[in-house]
Amino acid sequence: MVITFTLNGENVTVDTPPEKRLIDLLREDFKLYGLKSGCRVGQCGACTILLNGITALSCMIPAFTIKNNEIITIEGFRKTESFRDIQTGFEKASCVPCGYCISGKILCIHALLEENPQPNDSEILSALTGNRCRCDDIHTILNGVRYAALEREARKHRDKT
Amino acid sequence: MAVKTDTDKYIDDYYSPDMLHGVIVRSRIKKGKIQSIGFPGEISGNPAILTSEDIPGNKFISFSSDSMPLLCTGEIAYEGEPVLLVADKTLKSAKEAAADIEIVCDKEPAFSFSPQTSREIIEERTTARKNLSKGNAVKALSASSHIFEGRYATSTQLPKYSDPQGAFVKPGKKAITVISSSQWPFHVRSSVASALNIPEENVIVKVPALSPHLDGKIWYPSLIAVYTALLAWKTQKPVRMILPPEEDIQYGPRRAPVFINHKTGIDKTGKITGMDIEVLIDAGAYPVLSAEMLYRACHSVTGFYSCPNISINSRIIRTNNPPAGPLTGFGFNQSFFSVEMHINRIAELSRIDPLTWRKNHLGNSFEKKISKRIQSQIKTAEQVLDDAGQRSDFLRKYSSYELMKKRKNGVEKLGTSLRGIGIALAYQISGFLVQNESQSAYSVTARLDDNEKLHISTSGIPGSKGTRHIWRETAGRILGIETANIFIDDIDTSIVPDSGPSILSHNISIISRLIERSCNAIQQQRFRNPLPILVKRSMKSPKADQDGDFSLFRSGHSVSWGAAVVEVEINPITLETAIRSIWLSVDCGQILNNYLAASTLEAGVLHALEWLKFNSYQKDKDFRLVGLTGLPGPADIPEIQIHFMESGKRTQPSGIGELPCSLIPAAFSTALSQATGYYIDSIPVTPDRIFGYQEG
Repeated sequence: MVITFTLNGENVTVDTPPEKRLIDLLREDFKLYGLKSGCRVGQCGACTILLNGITALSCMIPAFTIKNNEIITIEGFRKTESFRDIQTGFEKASCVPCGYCISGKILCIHALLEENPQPNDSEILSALTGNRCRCDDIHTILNGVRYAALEREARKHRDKT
Repeated sequence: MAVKTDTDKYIDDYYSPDMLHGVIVRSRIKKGKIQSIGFPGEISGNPAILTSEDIPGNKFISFSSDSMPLLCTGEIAYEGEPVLLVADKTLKSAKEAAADIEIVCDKEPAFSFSPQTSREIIEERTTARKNLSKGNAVKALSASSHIFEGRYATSTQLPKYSDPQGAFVKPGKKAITVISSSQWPFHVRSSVASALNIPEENVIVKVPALSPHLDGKIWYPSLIAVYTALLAWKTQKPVRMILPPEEDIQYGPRRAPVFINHKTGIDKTGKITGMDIEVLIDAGAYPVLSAEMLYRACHSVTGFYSCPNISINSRIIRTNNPPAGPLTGFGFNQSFFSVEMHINRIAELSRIDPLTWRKNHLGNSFEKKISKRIQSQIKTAEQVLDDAGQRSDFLRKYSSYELMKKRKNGVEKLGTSLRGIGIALAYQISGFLVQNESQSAYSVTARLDDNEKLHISTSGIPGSKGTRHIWRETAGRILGIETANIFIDDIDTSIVPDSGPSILSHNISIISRLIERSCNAIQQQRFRNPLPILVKRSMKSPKADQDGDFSLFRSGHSVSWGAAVVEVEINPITLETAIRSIWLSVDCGQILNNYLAASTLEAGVLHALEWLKFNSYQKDKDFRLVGLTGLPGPADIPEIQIHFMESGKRTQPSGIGELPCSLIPAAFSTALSQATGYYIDSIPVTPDRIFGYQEG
């Protein structure tokens, strides 16, 4: 099945069998190893992508269904100012999740901050509830998100002025 | 520490255009005999198929004194036992070929252990045992004024690491290169060499990035690496094998379930007169590192309480479950759950609060005399107990909740939420495998180059992101070098020295000390000898003890102490349990980095909660994983208040990662017992299980 979609800002066309999952398409055909294949049952969040700007679990999506949609993976997101807000926030909080879960966490935090620029702790926890990894304590992550929210707010203020 | 998003290469990121994909064909029955292996239809594609007969070298893999067949040869011992290996160009074609293979078996009745299993069958199924005794426990119990009996059970636990089990193997002219996500790369090397019947020098093992492994990558990666290497040897092509989550969860590494029976005698003055304890470990079809588990379970099952007469009988029982081995603690965690629950029960029945009761009975059951060392340990244990008790306001809350329990008499009459509080005391003994028969040394090398940059070489696998940071900080502090100028070599068995398996907090208790010693040696030579300076430092594990020699607390092993208080609240309608707060007081000698030490304990608490709450997975008719139950998420993490005690006497760092799994289950379950009025004696503790207690 030949499909065309936007991947990290570029139009791409690929031939994919109907049973292939989106995660396998992105990792195997496009060599995008930033997203990870954790549980493959939609519970660990390591395979998170942005599908038309909304977080989605690529292990639960048949690849052919993304025809004409827009996908952003961590590789595409890394090039944005929004990524740098979160990166700086995490660094300020000494929050360094492992390389396996971090791309999912960053995309979920981005989606949260886009919708809710000043989230409280329970809103942060709720946004990250699908990212289950044992690499960092939650209090450090909460600090990282708080710093990221401040960074984003400051950047948007700078952009306006 | 910089935030990385896609630079770390995990095992499933390794790729080669000409690589084959390896899969395992497994038994679908628990016990039986293989009658035939065949292909009823036409086999898909052109796969490579490997059976036990094709293995050129040793057909068994060894883990210390235990061994298991690499591939089943006739007798199936558990569901999921590997029978054949298949490799093909794509994962899909390899799976299709594997599905075309038919294994015809004569099914036999399988054996699962339960507390109701008869003594004759337990005897028949025992594969290893360890007994410890001091004085005459039988006589002491018969002379006691009160005897307290308790039966405790801990379930299996799956280590929920994020990155998969797997290996990537590339055959070469001189050597075979194995990329393995292992905590013990030199064991991978010896296992691959043994199976291929080649010298160990011809096997190079490299370790990719690992997420926190939670001790789930001690032994299983060696098995996967051997399978992958066999397929690469047979096809002479690179092969990658990644264990799918459904296989990992059903057949991968797991904590062994343990059943422990306590019988404790108390005299009229309230002193413990004797302990008679039985430890039964369900190690599955093939025990792994069982001698170490038995040893550690025996040496912790009395807790830290004074008792003149002890009798401990422990056994490894072989069942038809998948192999179950060590996880965090190697048996300490299960033992501490049982003894701390038992002590809380004795205190309650003696009508003394459990904090005071503990303080009145502290001591080392295994030592004959109260030496200065024991006195110092008693003082430390007392300090952590007092600290946790004071910071949690334990005594006041305990009395108040006891009163609530007596007035309300169980959950069924209640309309409001119920509360309880529990306390536990434990220690962690880090570092070496005590049952290390080879007595091999663990080594680290450090080299200060011409440009005053330090290169550290070790096969130690960091258990968390902070370990290497601590190593750099330690070296930098001694040599006065910026951490940016300290480099830790990638793990490659042809370059780095054997630093032993990365278990039992050995990265802190051994590797950090070896780095410190190496750097001190460099510092002494630094301004006398020309650069570069290369130093190698080693430590040897203490000799394995004989029965009756209680040396675990003695020299060579570093000890950490911890006390935990857990306060819970239960919804009387849904029986959902919420942890109001956890207080942890820890004395672990020198703390190398406060932030990372606290982070390690918090991660440990989550690991303990997983053991308490996570107990099931769902699979469909084709053995595919369709869901996980009870896995805690970020919102499930309670408030944790950690306090490090500064005893000021001990300067060596000690591991702390195991303490939460030794402390939290008992403290939590005791709190739950107080809140519900039901005597909780097993984990996991799920709402349906509490409901079961309620029904009697």
